[in-house]
Amino acid sequence: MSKIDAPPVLTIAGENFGSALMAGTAGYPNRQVMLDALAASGAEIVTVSIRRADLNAPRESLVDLLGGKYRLLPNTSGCATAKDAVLTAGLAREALGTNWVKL
Amino acid sequence: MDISLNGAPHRFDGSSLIELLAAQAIDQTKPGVAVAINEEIVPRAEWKTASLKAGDAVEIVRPHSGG
Repeated sequence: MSKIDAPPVLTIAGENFGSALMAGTAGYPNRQVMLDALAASGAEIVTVSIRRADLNAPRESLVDLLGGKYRLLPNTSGCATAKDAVLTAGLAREALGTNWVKL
Repeated sequence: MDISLNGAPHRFDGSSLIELLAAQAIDQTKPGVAVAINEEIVPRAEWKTASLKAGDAVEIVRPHSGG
């Protein structure tokens, strides 16, 4: 996913990245600020949590918002037990098609 | 029948997962959604054949901002 021809800064499981920064998606005042901050950071890997869908108030999917631009790295934020974390990692694999997880 | 949906009691008239997802307006053609029934992940390929029974606990999850 390196953006330029420079040698990769980071290689994970054979996948090359031009930045070692992994940026989060929480704490921004709004989505536009998040998008601007992620773009300015140069990060190519962005972490997301895997949580219950809000079925009453659907929002634009983060996958639609970020999926084409960044490698989404699911995390186990909010899990209280190892069992929760394993289930969440499995759900993340289904939702995002990745074997990667940030514990 | 009565099931649990994302942790809340839910009355549901159908009998299959696919009916429940349709009723919740989940776009089954798009990535970014995963489902578990009674803490067992249901792979997307099995959504169409998974059945539900009273008392089942269904979780529908998505990526959210966080971490």
